[in-house]
Amino acid sequence: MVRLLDPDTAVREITDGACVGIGGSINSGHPMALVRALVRARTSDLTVVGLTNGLELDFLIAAGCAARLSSAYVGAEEIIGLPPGIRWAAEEGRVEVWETEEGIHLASLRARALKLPYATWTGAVGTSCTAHPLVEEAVDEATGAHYLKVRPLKVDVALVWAEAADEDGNLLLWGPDMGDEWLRNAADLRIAQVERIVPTAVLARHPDRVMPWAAEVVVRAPLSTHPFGSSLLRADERWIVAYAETVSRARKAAAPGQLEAYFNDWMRDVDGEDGYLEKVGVARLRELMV
Amino acid sequence: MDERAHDDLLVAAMARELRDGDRLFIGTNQPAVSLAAYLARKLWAPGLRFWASSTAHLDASQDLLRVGRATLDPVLVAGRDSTFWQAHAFDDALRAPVVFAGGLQVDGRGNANLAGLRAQGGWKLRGPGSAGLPSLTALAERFFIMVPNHDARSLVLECSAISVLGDPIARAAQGLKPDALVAVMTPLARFEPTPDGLVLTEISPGVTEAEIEQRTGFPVRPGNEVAERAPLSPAEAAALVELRAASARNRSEYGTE
Repeated sequence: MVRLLDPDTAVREITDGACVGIGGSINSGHPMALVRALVRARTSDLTVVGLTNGLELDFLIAAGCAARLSSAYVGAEEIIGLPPGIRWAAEEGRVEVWETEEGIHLASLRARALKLPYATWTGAVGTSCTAHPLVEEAVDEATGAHYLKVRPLKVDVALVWAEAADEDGNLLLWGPDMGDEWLRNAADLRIAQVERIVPTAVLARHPDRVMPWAAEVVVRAPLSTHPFGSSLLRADERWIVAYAETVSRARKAAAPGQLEAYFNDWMRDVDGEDGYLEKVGVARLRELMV
Repeated sequence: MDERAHDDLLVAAMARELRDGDRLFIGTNQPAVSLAAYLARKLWAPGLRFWASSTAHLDASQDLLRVGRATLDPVLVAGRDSTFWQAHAFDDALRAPVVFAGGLQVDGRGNANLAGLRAQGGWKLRGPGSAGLPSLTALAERFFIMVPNHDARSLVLECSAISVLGDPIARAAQGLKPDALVAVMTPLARFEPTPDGLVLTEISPGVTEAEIEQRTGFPVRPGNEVAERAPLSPAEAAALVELRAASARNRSEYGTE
């Protein structure tokens, strides 16, 4: 039975040390109400994984929630340069980075979803990504072809965003694909953050965008992809830049406490997700709305 | 020539590598590639088609120059004419036969590194990650490496990690198309791969080989002929002005900051 929960209750499903996949792509479609709830819960020792991530992974590492990272890309396109929290943690050895790339990541999810001992992949041969702990270089005896054996990535929980859901966990996807499909397929538990919960008949008006039975937990959190975009919001570039500057200042001052204060201010010392949105402000949210 | 002029000339040089009928993949955060693609399509390659992360731009008349800043911007997404399935990006290995890669480092063999700079078993500088480039460039028919800054920090003797395998010998050993890397391009120069490493084949106007040697971290070996990069033609110059203006206008209209 699908459970309808609030963000803070939903992330109680995630234990310290779990492998958590985060959906969305770069500056769009990240389930930030759930990410912020993880920060509030002070979950720790997570392995965070993704295909093409934005700074949501940077938040989790900067806030001390994650100890291992496996993502093909983490960045904010032209908005800022390199992800500042990950840089700081990686360069001080506080986070273990599994070098990966999109083809390998998708293969590892495919292997998990299809219950295969491994999936094969021919891209990325000869690169440093072959050092990923799930990857083994191989040569096909029959043809001499070089390829990679990619072992399954055990994703304990997938956190994804969708435009809407019904009470059966059927999701209404936005339309553009953000690479979430194999993440959902590979995860033991899928928690979907949505803008609204609607009757199944409403979903059925958009059959090409409905992904049936795609979540065990549904969390209604309108506008809570902020600071990232969605079908309703543009990415809040000003907020993202301010975050990056805060991390840079804290690093320059060698003052991790400044980061702690930042996360307290924005995510912990507010009244849950609603408190966060109130802090962003109605005027700013309306500016960002499409 | 000032820095901006060299940058414009690099965009034109990249555009000149694109052929009518090519299918190009434009990745995340590649505004110069996007500009080069529009330039080529405008002037000599009307049949050029390109993927740009979230969208396959099937309609050549579309004006979507802001690709690169916000791949999945909701307005851009609403105007897409097809959907790019990231989860199935590699299901058709020949979908994107032409690719431009970037790199924090490029070595003298033609390999590129986007992972970061390693030191003493750890990270001296952690980069954004290799994204899809290891697979895209392994599978590409032809690809290029574009380096926005020509200096010895970017052009190095050896990369501390390899995201893009360009070395023809190493590619052949892995069963990949050995000559898929066509060139390494910088604002000042163009290098081509050979079995013995990169050779210098082109330099920008006003730049000397001695300057290239001084600003390159691997030994510079001139090719049989080192040409001067052709200056912007009047048509290229005019088109670049128009495209940059359109890009700025689009960003303003789409509300990016």
